[in-house]
Amino acid sequence: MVRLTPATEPPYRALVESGAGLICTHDLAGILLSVNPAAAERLGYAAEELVGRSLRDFLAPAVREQFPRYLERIAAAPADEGLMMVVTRGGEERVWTYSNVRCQDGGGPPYVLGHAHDITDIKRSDARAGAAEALRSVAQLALATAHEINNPLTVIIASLQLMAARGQVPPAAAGTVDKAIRAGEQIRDIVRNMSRITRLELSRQSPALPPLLDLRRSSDPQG
Amino acid sequence: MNVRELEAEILREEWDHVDTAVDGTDALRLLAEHVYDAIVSDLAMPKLDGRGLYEEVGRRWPTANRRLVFVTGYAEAEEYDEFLRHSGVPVLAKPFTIADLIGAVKTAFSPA
Repeated sequence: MVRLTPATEPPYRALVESGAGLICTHDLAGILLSVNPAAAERLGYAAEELVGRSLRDFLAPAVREQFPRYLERIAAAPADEGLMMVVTRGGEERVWTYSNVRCQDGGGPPYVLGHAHDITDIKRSDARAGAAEALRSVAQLALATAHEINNPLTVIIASLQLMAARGQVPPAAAGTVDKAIRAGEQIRDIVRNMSRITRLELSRQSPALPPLLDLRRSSDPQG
Repeated sequence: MNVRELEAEILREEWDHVDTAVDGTDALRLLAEHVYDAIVSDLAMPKLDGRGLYEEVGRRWPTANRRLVFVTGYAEAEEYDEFLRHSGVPVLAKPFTIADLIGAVKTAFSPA
């Protein structure tokens, strides 16, 4: 597949046969002509099982319909690169980044030399980091909101208590004031629970989570 | 009415002399002029925060910072966790009740 001079052939062959890079060749119809052991192993096959089959068969079902467009591109241009989602023999979908070039040796038919890297773990790590960052932002927003609620809530609860303690609440309104204080205390408890949960999320401490907010109960006027 | 004004109003129900300061620097000015039985302070304040106030009060009047009580919203408490554990200053979480505030101040009168 590649013209090698005798002096350089052993190192190049070792690079393909023993290297970690994922290398293959396929014809312009996408039929695999050769696959190096690293690529075959990553897909869960022996190299011999892959040769003669279409590269399309090893793409994830969701992206297979894009394969003809790839073939059109690589037939029209000398090179193509991008991401491909492959599926292993065990059914796991993995993301490879590829950089393929169209070759032609002497008067032989053109073929494609493909070189790929499996970046699945990097992508997953990035996704986890993104999710963690999003969670952190939400948690910080929740804490800031709790803080903003607590100041006016302090004024509401303590002012009502102060009025009651001073005897400034008419007897007919005493029950209403008492209900208002209890409603304020319910808000306080909800905010404290929310803050406790978000602080735990921020510190990534999963054990000993406090009871989850019971929104149904807290919105119940009898609660 | 803000929380500071409310705190003062509640404390005046129990004690005759209550002054308010807008931030830590203002509090230091008052502390230089009067002797107080208790100091109620927010943790998060402009110019000089509660931690700065604790350290400065301790530097100028070595035992006076034992009469401090911090009032805090939940959000900033984490930032001050280590300091609060180390200093042992009692912390009152907002929103508090009248009884909570008066009880905390009475504790500051007779620090452990």
